[in-house]
Amino acid sequence: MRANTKDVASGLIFIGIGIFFGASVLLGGLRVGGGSFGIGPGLFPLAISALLCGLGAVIAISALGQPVNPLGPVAWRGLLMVTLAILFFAFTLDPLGLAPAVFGCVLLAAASTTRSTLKGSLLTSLVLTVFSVAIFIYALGLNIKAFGPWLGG
Amino acid sequence: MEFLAHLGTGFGVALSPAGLLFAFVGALLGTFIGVLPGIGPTATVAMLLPITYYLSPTSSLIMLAGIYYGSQYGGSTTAILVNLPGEVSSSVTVLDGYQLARKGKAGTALSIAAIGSFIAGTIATFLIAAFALPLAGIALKFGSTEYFSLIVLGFIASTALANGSVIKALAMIVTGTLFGMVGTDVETGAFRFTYGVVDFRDGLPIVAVALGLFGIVEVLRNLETLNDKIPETIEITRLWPSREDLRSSLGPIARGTVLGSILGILPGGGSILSAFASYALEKRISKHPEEFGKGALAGVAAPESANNAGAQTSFIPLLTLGIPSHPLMALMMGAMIIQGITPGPRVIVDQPQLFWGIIASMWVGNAMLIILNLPLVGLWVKLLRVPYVVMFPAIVAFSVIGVYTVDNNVFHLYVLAAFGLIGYVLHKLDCEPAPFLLGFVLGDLLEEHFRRAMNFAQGDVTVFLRQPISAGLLLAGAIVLALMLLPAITRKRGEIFVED
Repeated sequence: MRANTKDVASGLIFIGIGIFFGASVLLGGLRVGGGSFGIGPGLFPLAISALLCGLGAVIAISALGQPVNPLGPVAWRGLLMVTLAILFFAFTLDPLGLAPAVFGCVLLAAASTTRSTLKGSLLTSLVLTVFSVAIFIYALGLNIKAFGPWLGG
Repeated sequence: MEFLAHLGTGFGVALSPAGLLFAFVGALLGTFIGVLPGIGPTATVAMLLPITYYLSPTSSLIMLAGIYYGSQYGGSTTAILVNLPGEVSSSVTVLDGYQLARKGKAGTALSIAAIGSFIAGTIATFLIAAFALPLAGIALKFGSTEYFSLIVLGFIASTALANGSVIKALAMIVTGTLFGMVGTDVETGAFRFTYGVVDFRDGLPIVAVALGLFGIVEVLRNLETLNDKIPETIEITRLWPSREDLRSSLGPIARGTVLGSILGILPGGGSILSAFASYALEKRISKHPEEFGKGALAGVAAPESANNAGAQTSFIPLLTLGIPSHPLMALMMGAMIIQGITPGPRVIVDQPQLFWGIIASMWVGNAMLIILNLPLVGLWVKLLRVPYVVMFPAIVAFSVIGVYTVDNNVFHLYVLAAFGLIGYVLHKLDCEPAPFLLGFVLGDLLEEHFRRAMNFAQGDVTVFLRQPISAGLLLAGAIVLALMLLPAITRKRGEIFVED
């Protein structure tokens, strides 16, 4: 059967989100009623979750019979490397300090594409590291160390 | 003419050394990111939001506003000289601007774009000044019942004016609203959707969410079809337009300004819709519609004036009603809250220096931009030689540093990574991130006004239909929604956003 798979998928995702939040209200013990004039903290989220399920269903159903909509290229490598770059920064900032964290983050991000060369990436990382330390630590005086406790900072 | 006196106060602030400095910094940064494709004003404002902690409220808002309208100027340079939109809002300028440049009229196109933007910016500044007081006056009379209905209307209107499917945009707003509810419930103190994670109790940080959805996703999108060819730019021979070109452009500039100013005020409008709609209008009323796409000067003059006018008037709902009309305004709202200012009709009364200072600085910034963009255009074009393989790691680096410094909290970085992934999946499924962010920011406000209205009406839901203003707003929303689902209108919406 023909269907706009993108719309079917997004409809199902919306239904999933709606069920997740709705179930969290009901199973998580948030009071739906009670409170002043019968409005508990769970009422509004529950109503909105139900609305989202409805919208998701309409999107998915109206996509049936529609022409297929190609997904186009997916930046798998970018998705992986950019996420890793953010996480690297998150894990190393406190123990190692800003300089190594930025350096590694930029190096990982640059590896998102085969078009960047190692030499070019190292240079970009170095320049950006010096630049961020100068701006954020010296100029703006943020409370971050350039080199963290693991590096004697 | 009371507003002229207020503008006087405003110019006092805008022409002070700090006012001039930050308008200049904003205009400069705006031009910079406007020229560069691959980074937009929304991501830039999100990155710089943490830095505004260190500035005064007036300075930071002047600077952030400058980035937005400055990017409208810069975007046209790339569109005309390289056949690439530097910003989404200049994607229609590409059509005729580049063709003009190929005919040796690059200078004419650039100067008409800048002059049109300047005229539009000047008129929009006065419009904001003239409408701000009466609108704020009306808004001060609004109670929670009216506010609830106003936000509902805003949500619906913003989906009607957005690019793409109406119902998907609605679903994105609702999803944003749900994610916005993570955290501590203000009224009862109950934790909602925190799942025992302490960091969730303060809610999801807006800077991380916005930078994930707009900054990181933009990087990933560009990585899909990356080519490292340095774009060829067309040489500029003569910068100033002939008298005849100037005269024939005045009509399109005027129409673009009017249309852009109106569309800018509407929720979801802003600069992008203004540019598309004014191009469609010019093509329709032109005596030579066949010239469009082959180098019609009106096809540059009108959308460039409209996007700048729309960029500026989109400040009206935020500054007078306290309701942001698109994601960038949502971030401006965040900037105001960071500074301890509650956006809304009280700002104009309680902080006249701030309010009128921002407005006057828009005109000052526009004047700076015309100087920055015309004589210095050669300098900006050189920026395009920076290859994207150098640029995108820099965007990632500034994003992570910006997100972290909001609260010096590593948790915000996990939110950034998560929303980069979520945003990319949604992008692949043709779901726009803009409505999500609006729902995310306004969801809390919607719920708060709903509960207050219910308390006031002692739990009677029909209050929203019994109060005349509220009922009128809801009725308007229902009409807009019904119209959007009509097949004829759906087709028309498609036409406006088709770039041919």
